[in-house]
Amino acid sequence: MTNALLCRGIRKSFGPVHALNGTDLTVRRGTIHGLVGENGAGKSTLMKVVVGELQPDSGYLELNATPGLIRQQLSTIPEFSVLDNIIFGAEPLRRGLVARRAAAERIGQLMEEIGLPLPLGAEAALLPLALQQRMEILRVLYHQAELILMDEPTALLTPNEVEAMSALLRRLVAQGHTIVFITHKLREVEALCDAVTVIRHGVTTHHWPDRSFTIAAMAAAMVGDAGGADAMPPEREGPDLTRADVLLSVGVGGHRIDVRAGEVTGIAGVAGNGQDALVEHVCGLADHAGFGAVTIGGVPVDGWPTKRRRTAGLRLIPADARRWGSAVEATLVDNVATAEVSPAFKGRFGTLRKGAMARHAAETVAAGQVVTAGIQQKAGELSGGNLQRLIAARELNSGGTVVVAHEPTRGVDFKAARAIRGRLRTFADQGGATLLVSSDLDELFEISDRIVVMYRGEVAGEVPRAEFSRARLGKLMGGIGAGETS
Amino acid sequence: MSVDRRATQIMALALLIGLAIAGAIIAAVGGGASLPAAAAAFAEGAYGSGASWGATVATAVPVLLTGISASIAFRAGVFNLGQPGMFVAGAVAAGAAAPMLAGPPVLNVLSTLVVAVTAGALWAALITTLSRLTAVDVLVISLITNYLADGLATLLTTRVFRDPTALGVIETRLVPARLPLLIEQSSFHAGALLAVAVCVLYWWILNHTSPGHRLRLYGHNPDFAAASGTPRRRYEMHITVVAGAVSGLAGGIQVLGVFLRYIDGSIGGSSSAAWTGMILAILAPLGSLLLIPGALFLASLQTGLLGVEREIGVSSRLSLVVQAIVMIAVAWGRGRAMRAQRAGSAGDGAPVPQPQTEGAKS
Repeated sequence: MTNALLCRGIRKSFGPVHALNGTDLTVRRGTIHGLVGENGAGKSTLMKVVVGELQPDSGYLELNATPGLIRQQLSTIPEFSVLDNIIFGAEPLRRGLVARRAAAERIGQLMEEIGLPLPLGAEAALLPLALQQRMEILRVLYHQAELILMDEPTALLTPNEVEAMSALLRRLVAQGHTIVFITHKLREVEALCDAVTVIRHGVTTHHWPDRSFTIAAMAAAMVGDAGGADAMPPEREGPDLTRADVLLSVGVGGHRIDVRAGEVTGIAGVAGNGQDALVEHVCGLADHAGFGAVTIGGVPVDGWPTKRRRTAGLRLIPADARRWGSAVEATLVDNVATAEVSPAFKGRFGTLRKGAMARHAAETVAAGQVVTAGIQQKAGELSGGNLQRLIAARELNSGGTVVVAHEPTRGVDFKAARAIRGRLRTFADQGGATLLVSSDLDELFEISDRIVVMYRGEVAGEVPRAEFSRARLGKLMGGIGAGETS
Repeated sequence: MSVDRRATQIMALALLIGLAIAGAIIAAVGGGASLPAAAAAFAEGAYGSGASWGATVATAVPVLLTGISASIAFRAGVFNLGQPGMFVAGAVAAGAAAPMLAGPPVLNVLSTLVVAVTAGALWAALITTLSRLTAVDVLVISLITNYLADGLATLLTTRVFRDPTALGVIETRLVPARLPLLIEQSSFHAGALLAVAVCVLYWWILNHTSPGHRLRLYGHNPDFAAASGTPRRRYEMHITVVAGAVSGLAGGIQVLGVFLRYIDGSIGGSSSAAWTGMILAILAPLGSLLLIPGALFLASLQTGLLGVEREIGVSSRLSLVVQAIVMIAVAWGRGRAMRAQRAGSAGDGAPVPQPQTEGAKS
């Protein structure tokens, strides 16, 4: 058997979302195989299928090696010692007791073989992340994995630690292990991998069985544009933007992102490059280093609490509708009113004007074309798409001037996604400013006037609409050509 | 906040089952006493006369107020179990302050209550601050501070505020004015009206005002509230202080209506009414007017079983066991009722979709 892993036409859906849509993957034994794709492409889902955590809806899967998955979010048990973490789930027993000494001997052997020393007695939580990751590697080796699946292993590491890990992976391969290396950092793939598979929207778009790949070719395959002519997005009719007022401004590293009235500014980037922090920083939900002053409508709002920023016109469509955008056990009326009821719905002594609240909720439901049994329905009973429509309508129809939309259509069905994008565009066209933070390039291309790319918490580049191309954006997102600003 | 009929039926059934088991135990242990006799003794003890009504109501007052206090905190999702400590803080402050505050009786009672409320609120603020400084969960800190409150109360009463004429007992001086009795020769005092008023006010604020709306939504999802502009830390502090104020009021009322001084060990400890108040907050639907009959019910369990003790001669230990059994039955019924309600409301609307975006991430 030369193949450690063979996947053919794997399909897996979660409700309306097709995470895997006929994915192919062939991993030869004794290689480091790069699995590359944008956020949401289906990489993690595929790995969960391989280790048997998820059942595929259909497709062929052939495993000729014991797989072991090292997750992006490390599954360390913080209070346990390193030793106990490693043997967890396969503790050697002697007369019903855990034979720690025997285990320690075996792990000691393993550590010697691969040249990776760890303090076995230390409390796992006290180890630096890089060492916790090594502990996880030891763990899967201890559990006798031959095919090691590593989900974004370098996301948490500094460049030096990445070097060390690369050397370790090479040693493992030399000893006959096989490694699947999931990443979106193309430079690392180029430096390390023997073969590469690119997936996009759950479909394998390209496969290089040897080292014939190039960064540019991978970037193109990753964003769905096999090189050559870039389909130019259609020109959009719009007001002259250069003279319009800056409604939102935020410093990011040395740069300043300005969002003008009438404009949709897109923020692109592979997830985890500072977009979440940017949104929290702008909305006053958390302080993050590396971000600069924020102004709303020209007024500096640094140090202002969220409520005051909202009063100044800021609105937020959060990435996680159920966590940050709604109370699923409360009615639609309460969800539209939010915890901070607008003064328009307050009577004397802080009494609620329930009639007015209900009318406003009904209007919001109508404006958002939310399909519901009634405004007294619980928000949690709405479908994901309908809940997102409700949140978008609430944030866009409450007199705000600036809206931050963070992954506004993630996990939302196609029709609702299109409606929400349309609303975000309309909000800007009517004089508002939209900051669209998204990892979906198609979405950004559709409604943005320009796209700012973030990489490692910094602005990697800014691309005006006339110059939109997947290749250009893909490179900036992969950290290539940083500093190239137009 | 509608308790539908099915939920009520389940609760009633649970209560009957609990009482039946309790009755069976009393009949079995009570040395030949018949079940009807035990029931009659129970009813006599809880509601048989003005005096027994008075005892039941006086027992219910601190249970209701500390129950409201716990309910406010639980509503916001703040698991503050510091009610016994806040209750003691209010009582000690009232016992210490009342003799020192001059003035006509009405003014003296009112200003003493203000002191008690303030003390409860300050104690609550201390709990939150400690929890923040030590970065230990408020649940843990609040439980620990209950013992701290008992200890400090003894210390203060012994060293600072002790009535020099009291022999043997550690207690503060007699209060100059008390909450008036509403039924003569009983312990039915005016604090009962105050407690009911606080409960109605709480219900009204919760259901009809914007602060109540904020409390409900914050409790549903604090992240959503924060994103809408509720400042998380300040709000939780605010809620804890309000809860502390209500528990402090309970302490003040207990001193001014029942004991007429702070007697060491009478209010704190493991038999504190505040523990029963917490149970009330957990059993009764949060923030509803049902807290009032709930408090009366829990109080009558105590006074009724006192009656059974007197008439039939079962031990007070047994009556603790019986109380626990009835409470467990009610808790069981509440769980069933809530499940029934949830199932009912889910059946009304559209089927609950479970969008799975988790797996789509990569």
